[in-house]
Amino acid sequence: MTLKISNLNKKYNDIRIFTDFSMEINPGLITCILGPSGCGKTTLLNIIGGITSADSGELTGFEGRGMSYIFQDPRLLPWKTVRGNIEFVISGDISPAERKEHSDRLLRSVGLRDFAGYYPSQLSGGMRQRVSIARAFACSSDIILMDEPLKGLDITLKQNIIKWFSGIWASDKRTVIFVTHDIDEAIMLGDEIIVLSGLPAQITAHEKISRIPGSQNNNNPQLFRTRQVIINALGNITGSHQENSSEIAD
Amino acid sequence: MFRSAIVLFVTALLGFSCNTPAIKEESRKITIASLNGPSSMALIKLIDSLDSEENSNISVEILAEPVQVRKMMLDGTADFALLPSNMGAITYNKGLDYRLMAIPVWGTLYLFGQDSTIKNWEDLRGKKVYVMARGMIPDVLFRYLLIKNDIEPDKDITLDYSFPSHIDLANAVAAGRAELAVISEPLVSLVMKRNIKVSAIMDLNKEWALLQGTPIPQTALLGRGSFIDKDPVLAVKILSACDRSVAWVNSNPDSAAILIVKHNILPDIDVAKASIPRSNMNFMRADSISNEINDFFRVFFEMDPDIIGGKIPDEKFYY
Amino acid sequence: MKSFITKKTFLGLASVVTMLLIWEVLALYFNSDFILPTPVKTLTTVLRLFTDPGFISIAGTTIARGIIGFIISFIAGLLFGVLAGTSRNFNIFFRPFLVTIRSVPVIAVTLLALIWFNPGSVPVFIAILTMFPFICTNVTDGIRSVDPDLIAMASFYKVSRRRLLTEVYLPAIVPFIISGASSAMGIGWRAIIIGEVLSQPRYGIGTIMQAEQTFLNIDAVIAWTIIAVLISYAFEKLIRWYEHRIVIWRDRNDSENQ
Repeated sequence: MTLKISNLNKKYNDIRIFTDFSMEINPGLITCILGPSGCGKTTLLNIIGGITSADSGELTGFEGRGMSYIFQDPRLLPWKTVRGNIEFVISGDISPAERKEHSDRLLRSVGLRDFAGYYPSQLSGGMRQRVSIARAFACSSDIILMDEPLKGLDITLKQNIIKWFSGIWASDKRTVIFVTHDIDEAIMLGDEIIVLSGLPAQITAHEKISRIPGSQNNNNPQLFRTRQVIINALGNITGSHQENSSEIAD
Repeated sequence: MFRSAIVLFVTALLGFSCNTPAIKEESRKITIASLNGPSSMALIKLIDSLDSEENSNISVEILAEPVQVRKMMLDGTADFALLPSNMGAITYNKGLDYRLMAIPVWGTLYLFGQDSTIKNWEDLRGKKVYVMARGMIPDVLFRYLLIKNDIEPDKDITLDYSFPSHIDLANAVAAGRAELAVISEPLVSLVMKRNIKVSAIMDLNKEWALLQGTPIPQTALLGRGSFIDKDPVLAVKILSACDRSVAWVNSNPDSAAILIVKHNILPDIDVAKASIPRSNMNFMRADSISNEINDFFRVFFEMDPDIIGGKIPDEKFYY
Repeated sequence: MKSFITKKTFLGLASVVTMLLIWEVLALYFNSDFILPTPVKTLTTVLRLFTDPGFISIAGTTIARGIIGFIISFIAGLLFGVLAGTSRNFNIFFRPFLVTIRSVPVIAVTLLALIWFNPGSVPVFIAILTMFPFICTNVTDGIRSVDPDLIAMASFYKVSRRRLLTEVYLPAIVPFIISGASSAMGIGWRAIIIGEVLSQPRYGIGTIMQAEQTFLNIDAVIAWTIIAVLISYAFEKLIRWYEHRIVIWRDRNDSENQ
């Protein structure tokens, strides 16, 4: 069932972030909300996640769906092992054996099975983010929200994490909504890209990504075209918006 | 950096030298370190006369605690000192050259309180008596008297040390919290003034004299060895001045009481007047009573050698 | 790794040796057993005291007082600390109490305590007054400093309130509790001994120190001081060691700095 956001209004300190904003998200896909810093994409994510409330508007299809989160910082409990962190979000009456099996499977799918007993302080930043991903999938949720999870990482690390994420997602295709300002990330990970820009925010592009499975897709002409569209959509930034962007809590 | 550390260290060491005995003896006055209590009461005439004398070469320091007197002995600023006699023995035994010259104040310990049923030692059976300073002279002395009078301490009688200082204990008796207590003058008179229900039940000095034949040589007048050796005539002159003061106080209690209040030793003339006879002031030269003092030390040596400093002082202690 | 530990031990030892040397020099300078006995004499006295049959009752009673005081302070500190950390109103209400307890001079409390309690309990009371604010403030600080991002994460994942408390808050504040406990222990012993000196209970290091001072056995006074220092050090070390065991998730580098 489609997830709908209808007629969203949100003001923050006299700045109108969303005015009568509407959007649809297709379930079971990775939808990327792409936009420059300050365009309100994180606010949108927080509204979807129930952390912030909108001034007015409707969210349909989100009720009753469990949600997982992947933040920009991994937010692991430093006093729990990797396994402990993953099992932290597993709720319900499950036997310890089942729990272990569950976390084992997830650890394997992010390639960290051998590090199950390690503490976060002993892992690299990239590895911690992978644990965070495994944790998101450990929770029995229908929707995964990701807020700039790859921000600040170098390109190799990004690709590495994207690889692991895609791997784990391949066998458990939950609805993913992920927010970023990086085109490459969007193209590498997203199935659909919604470009947000302007203030109040508006959808300036909505592209579906078609990748040729199995190939590097570097010379995929379709992707190239999509990329152009996105760049153009992002380029529609008026001067006033650029000045305002830094004032909004993202 | 290392060099400056050495400089600092040496300066600090030199700074410590203020603690070592002052070398400028000639310009310094002859100092008598006295205790605020019967000791100063005994010397009150001397103290008062020094006040009126412009260029006297004697000065009397009245200190609140024996440890302060002892401090002046340790750093040599006291030429003469008044201390409980056992403390005098301790300092001598530890190597400090202060010799016992006289006993100006004899026993001032009393059993007192509100319990009027006590007429003799037997009446103390089963009672609780508060004593100050566990392990010190008042405690040991009282226990000795109990034993000698067939009362077993801690078995036939309860000794309570809850009030560690003499002032706490005095307050407790005045407030009625302690019914029976062993305490010394001038607190006895002070408390009795505050609470008329409190009376002096037993004069422990008298009880001791009954058993031992002599009263308790409680306070010692000590003189610095180097002073005595340098000028024995002057030392004896000082002793005579003290002797005269004690005699005067005993013959003129009313005038003495006024002086005692004037110099802030006691707050109240009536208390001072009552305290004078109870304070057993009687100046006696040590060399004439050295045997008696020795016997006194022996009793304590047998009960706990530490009280007099580990051993009985030899005859050189007595001047 | 091995060579590092040896270096640390070496420096520690060098420090102690230097202290002893300075002591010896000063003792020789003053040349008086009343001001500063020599280290050799004092340490011999320490050994003598250890083997004395009365040692157990004296040191043991003081240690018992310290432990009781600590346990009471710890429980109370934990309780009030958590309350103050989680409820802003309680924190504001409780602050003046804490400030008063902390600021009242030890001696004033002691004199009052002598009236209220028996001599054996006075040192414990004083120790509690000294240690409790310490532990309480540390616990409160610990709760306040729990990473809000972690709390947010746990809330997002809808973790139960009970688990939030036991798996997020509690482990986060354990380092603070331990640190507070360790510091409190250090000052607590001092308070116990001061209390004993002033209230003169039958058995206690403070009591015997006072007696030895009256008897002019200065070497014994210093010897008992050394014993008191050793006791304090031992307990502090005990707590730190315990901390090490339960806070192993800390960055490995931290352990080398302890």
